[in-house]
Amino acid sequence: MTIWVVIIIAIALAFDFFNGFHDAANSIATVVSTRVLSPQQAVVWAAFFNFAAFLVFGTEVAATIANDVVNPEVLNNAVIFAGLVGAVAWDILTWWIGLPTSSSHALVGAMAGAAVAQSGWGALIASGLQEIAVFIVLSPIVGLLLGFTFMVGIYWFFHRRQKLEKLNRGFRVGQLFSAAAFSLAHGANDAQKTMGIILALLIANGVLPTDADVPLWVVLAAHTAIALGTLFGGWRIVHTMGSKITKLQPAQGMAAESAAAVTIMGNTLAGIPVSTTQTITGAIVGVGSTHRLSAVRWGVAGQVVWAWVLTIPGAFVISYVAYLPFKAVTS
Amino acid sequence: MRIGRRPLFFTALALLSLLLLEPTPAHLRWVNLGSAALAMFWAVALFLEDRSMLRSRPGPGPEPEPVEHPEPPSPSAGAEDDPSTRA
Repeated sequence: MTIWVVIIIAIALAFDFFNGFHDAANSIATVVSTRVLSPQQAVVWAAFFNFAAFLVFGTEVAATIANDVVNPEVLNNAVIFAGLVGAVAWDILTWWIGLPTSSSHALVGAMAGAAVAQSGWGALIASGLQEIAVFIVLSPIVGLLLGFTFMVGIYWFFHRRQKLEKLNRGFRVGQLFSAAAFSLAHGANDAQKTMGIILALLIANGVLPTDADVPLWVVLAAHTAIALGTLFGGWRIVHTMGSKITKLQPAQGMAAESAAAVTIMGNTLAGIPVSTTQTITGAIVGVGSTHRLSAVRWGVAGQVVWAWVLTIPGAFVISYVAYLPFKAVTS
Repeated sequence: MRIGRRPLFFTALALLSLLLLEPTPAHLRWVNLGSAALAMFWAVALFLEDRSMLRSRPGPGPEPEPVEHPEPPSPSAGAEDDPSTRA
């Protein structure tokens, strides 16, 4: 393994760390706001299940990232490096602007941009990109519909038997499990994207054969990075908890987290990289719309639509430009 | 008959799921179809709920006696449709 490979692996793991850092709020927000767990306990709870995901799920998403976005034959150190630079730069830029974009979509767009800069449009695998693009839109819709369905089910099954106050006390315990399920799903889908990049890098450098599976050390490193990111990101957001957290009740929080967890787990098993942030946003919209549509924060939903439209082209352009110096050197 | 916003919203979700059917890989199309079916189910259920609520409201009845100083309308009336009340 050359020093370049080690450096690129370090950048990929840093990308994974910031993914956990950025998304920690999704995992612990509701469970802290309802005082089911203290902020400290919630952060450790989410990080643990981020890490434990490797015991439950396979590496289908990693295989999709490594083999189905860009033709593996055109992948080399420069393309992967430029792709990671594009994804990280897009994430920082949109974090600065406040646009809730997806790190996953940024990674896909950035890898595509660097590959096109090197070898033209023929470097892309249309069927793989098409599948990812469809589920960018479909996953939040599925999350929304499941969130609505779970919430109506909860009201229908429990609310007719008990008063809402008593019901919410019971669902505070339920939220422990839904938060764990969401953290598990988040760790599984997002850590595998980094695994896919590292797998592609190791294959491109001849460290692994082309049909190799993801090595265990890569699996453990990716899950550790995302868990540590959640741990540190969680600490950071604890200070802003009081003002930014949703007004969801425990039953609503449990329904939204469960709906998002089921959606992301389904995608993970099918090998589809999805945005965990946008999926839980869809689930929260679904839960909110059981009350009435005017209760939904449509401004946030609109930002998600903008994020859909902009992320892949934006990350594509940045990584395309990031690859140009390498192209100038090699030509 | 006037259709409420929620039935229309869920109908739009069903249509969007069906529009994505063509680019979805064949082995995953059950997701689109399942989503569309679930969205249409809720659209119809919400439509029926809206209609039953409209029917359960008391009818207009006999015309009331004219009042010299009528009470002003409640400020909460129609609040749900007022865009300024949205979160």
